[in-house]
Amino acid sequence: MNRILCGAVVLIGLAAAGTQAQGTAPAGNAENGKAVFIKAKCFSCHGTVGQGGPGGRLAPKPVAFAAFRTFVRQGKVNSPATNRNWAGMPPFSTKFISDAELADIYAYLMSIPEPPATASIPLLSQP
Amino acid sequence: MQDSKTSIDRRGFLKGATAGAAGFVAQSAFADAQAPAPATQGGTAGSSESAPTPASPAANERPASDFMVDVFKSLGIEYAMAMPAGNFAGIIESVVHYGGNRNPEWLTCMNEESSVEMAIGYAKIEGKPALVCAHATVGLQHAAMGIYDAWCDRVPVYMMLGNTQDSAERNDPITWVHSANDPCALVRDMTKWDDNPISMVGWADAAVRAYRIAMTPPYGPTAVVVDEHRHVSNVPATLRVPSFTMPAAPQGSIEAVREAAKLLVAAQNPVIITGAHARTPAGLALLVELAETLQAGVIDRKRRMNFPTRHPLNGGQAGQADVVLALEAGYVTGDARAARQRNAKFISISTNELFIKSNYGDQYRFAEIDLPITGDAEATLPTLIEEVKKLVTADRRRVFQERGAKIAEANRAAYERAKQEAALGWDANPISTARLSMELWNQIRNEDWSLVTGWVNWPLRLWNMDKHYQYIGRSGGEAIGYHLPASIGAALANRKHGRLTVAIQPDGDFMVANGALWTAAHHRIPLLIVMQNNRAYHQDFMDAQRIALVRNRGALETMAIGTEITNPNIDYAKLAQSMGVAAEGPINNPNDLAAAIRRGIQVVKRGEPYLIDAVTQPR
Repeated sequence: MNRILCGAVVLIGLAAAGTQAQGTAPAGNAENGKAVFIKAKCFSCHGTVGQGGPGGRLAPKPVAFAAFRTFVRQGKVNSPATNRNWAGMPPFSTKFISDAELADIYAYLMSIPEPPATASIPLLSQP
Repeated sequence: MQDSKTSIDRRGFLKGATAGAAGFVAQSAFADAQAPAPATQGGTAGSSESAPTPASPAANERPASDFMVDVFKSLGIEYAMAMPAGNFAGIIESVVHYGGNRNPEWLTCMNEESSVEMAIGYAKIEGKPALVCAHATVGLQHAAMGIYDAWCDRVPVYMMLGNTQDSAERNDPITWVHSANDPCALVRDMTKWDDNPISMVGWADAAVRAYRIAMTPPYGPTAVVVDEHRHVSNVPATLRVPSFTMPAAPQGSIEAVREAAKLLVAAQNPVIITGAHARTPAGLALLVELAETLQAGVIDRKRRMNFPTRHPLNGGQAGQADVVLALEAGYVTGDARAARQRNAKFISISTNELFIKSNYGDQYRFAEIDLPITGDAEATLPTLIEEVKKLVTADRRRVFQERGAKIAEANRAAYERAKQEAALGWDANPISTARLSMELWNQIRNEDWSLVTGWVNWPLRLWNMDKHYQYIGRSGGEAIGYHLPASIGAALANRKHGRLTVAIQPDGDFMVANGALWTAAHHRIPLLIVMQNNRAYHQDFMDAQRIALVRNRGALETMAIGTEITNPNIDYAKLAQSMGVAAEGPINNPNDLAAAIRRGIQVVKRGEPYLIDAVTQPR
C-alpha cells in the first residue's frame, strides 16, 4: 500500500477521438460485458464507464476491436529495458476472460454514450 | 502511549524527591538523581511503572517544566500536539496550569503518528512548527512514519521526547522497557538534529537550537530528549531563557545566479520546474514575477502551492526546453538526462545537498545538472529576478511576449481538455472524482478556502488556486495515514484566519489513524471532509492483479484478496459520529452530493468538523 505508482503509469488512451474501423468486432452482449468488466475489476484502472484513471480512457468510442484485443491479451510492457510489466496493462489470458467475454466487454464499451457537452454542465461551464 | 501507573510507586518516589528538594539550590535541579530507589509494596511491585513526583520548589526555585514552557513561548509555539505519556507529564501540567493552556495550547492526540502528521499540516499552512511531545520509546515508534513524511517533505517538526535516561532511576520492568539509552537513534536517519541533554541548562540550549535548525532551510524535523525526572524537578528561578534569532535562509552564490540569468534570458524556450520552492507566500509571488519577466512556462509539481493554476504561464513542455530551471523540484533525474540528450542546459536551485543523509532514498538518483546552485530557491529568487531584469533588452522582451502568448494559448487548451475529460463519467455511480471535485469547488469558490489534501488530481486541473494556503501538497513519504491528521493540523492553522478548510479524504488513508477525528471534534477544529471512499487499496489491488495475470494463475474472484475494503463496507459516517463529528452518507448518487456539501459547510462555518461519506470511482 505504500508504493504509489500512479505517477509512473503511462496513460494510454484506448478510445479514439474520431471514427475507426470497427467492422471486425464480433457481436457481443453489452449487459454481460458490463458484468465481466466489473468482475474483472477493469474499473480499478479505467473507471466503471471506461472514463479512465490510472489506466487510459476506454470509452466512448473505443479503439478498433483488433487493437483492443491485442492490448487485453498481451498487456503493455512499461519497462522495455527489463521487459517487465511493472505498472502498465496486465495481460488477461483466456483463462480469465474468454474470447466471447472479451467481445461482450467491447460491446459494453461501444454502448457507453458520449458524455454531455461541457457547456451543458453548469459546474464545468463556469469561469 | 503507555500503561497506567499506580499511586503506590508514586508515593514511594515522593520520599526521595522531597529529600532532594531540601538540598542546596545549585544541586536541587538534579536532586532527584540522588534519590533512593522507591519502596515497593504488595503484589504490584515490579509489574507497574513508577513515576517521579515533584518536590515543591524552594523560594528561589521554580518547576523545571514551567521554565520549559517559557522557552516554548519564547519560540512562538502556538500548539502542542501529543498522545499523553507519563514521562513528559510535567510539560502537560505546566502548559495547562502555568502557561494558561495558551501558546502553546495542548491538543490531545490518539496516536503519535497523528501528532506528527497534524504538526506537518499545521506547519505547511502556518510556516512554523508546532510542538510534538511523545514518549521516546513506545511513542516515538508510532511517530516514526510521520517523522519520515516530514523529513521527505522538508517540513519543520519540533519534538520533545520523554525518557528515563538514568538507568538507576528505572525502578520497575515497565520503565526499563520504556527507556532507551539513545532514543533518537530510531529516527536519526530522518531528522536534521537531535540531542539528549542531561541538565535543564543543556535542555534550554538544545530546545532553542532544535527550533532554529528545524526552521533553517531545508526545513526538517528535530528532536530533543526530555528526562522524566529532570523535567519535574526544580531549577533556579534565575535560569535564563536563551535569546533567539533566526538566521537568513542560505542563498545561491551571486556568480552562479548571474550565469543562470544569462542562460535564461538568452534561451529560446526556457521552462521552469518547481516542486516545493514556495516555503512562504512570497515564494509564489516571486515565481510569478520571474515567469512573467521571462514569459516562461512553469511546470508546478505541487508539493506546495508554488504557482497559480489559472495563470497563463502555468504549463510548458519541459521536453522541448533549451534551458530548464528547477526550483526545489525534487526528482529531476529524468528531466536532466533528457535535457542533456537534446543539448539543453539544466539549472537547479536547491537546498537538497545542504543537508542529506545516506540511508533513505529521498536524495533520488543522481541528476546530471549543468549549473547546480546550492541555496534556498525562495531566498535566491529576488537576486535571480534582479539579474534577469538587468539583461532583458527591448528585442528580447518582444521575443518573450510572443513566447508567452503561445504558452497562454496552450494553457487555455489544456484547461478546456481537462473540462472535457471531467465530463466523462459525470453521472456515474459510484461518483467520479471529477464530479466530486467540481461539486465541492462550486460551493467553496466564493469563500476564502483551503484544500488540504493532495490525492485527487482534479482540483489542480480545474480549480482556480492562486494563494499559498490553498494547497499544501501530499505526504512526503508517499505512505498512507498522512491525509486525515495532516488535514486536521492544517485546518487548525486555518482556523484563526477564518478560512474554510476542505479535504478530499481517501478511505484507506482514513483508516490508519481515524482517532484524529476525535481530536478534531474535541478541539472544535472546523474541517469539511469529503470521503473518496473507493472501498479498496486500489493501487495495491492493481499490483497484486498484475502479478497474478502475468503468472497466469488464480481466478478473477481471488485477485482482490488482501486489497479490498469491503464485506463489510465501512460506515464512515457512523464512525465519525461515534467520535462526535457530524456526518452523513454513504452517498452513491452524484446528484445527492451538492446538498450534503451545503449542509457540511454550514456546520464547518459554525466551527466544527463535518464528514460526508461519498462512494467514489477508484480514481
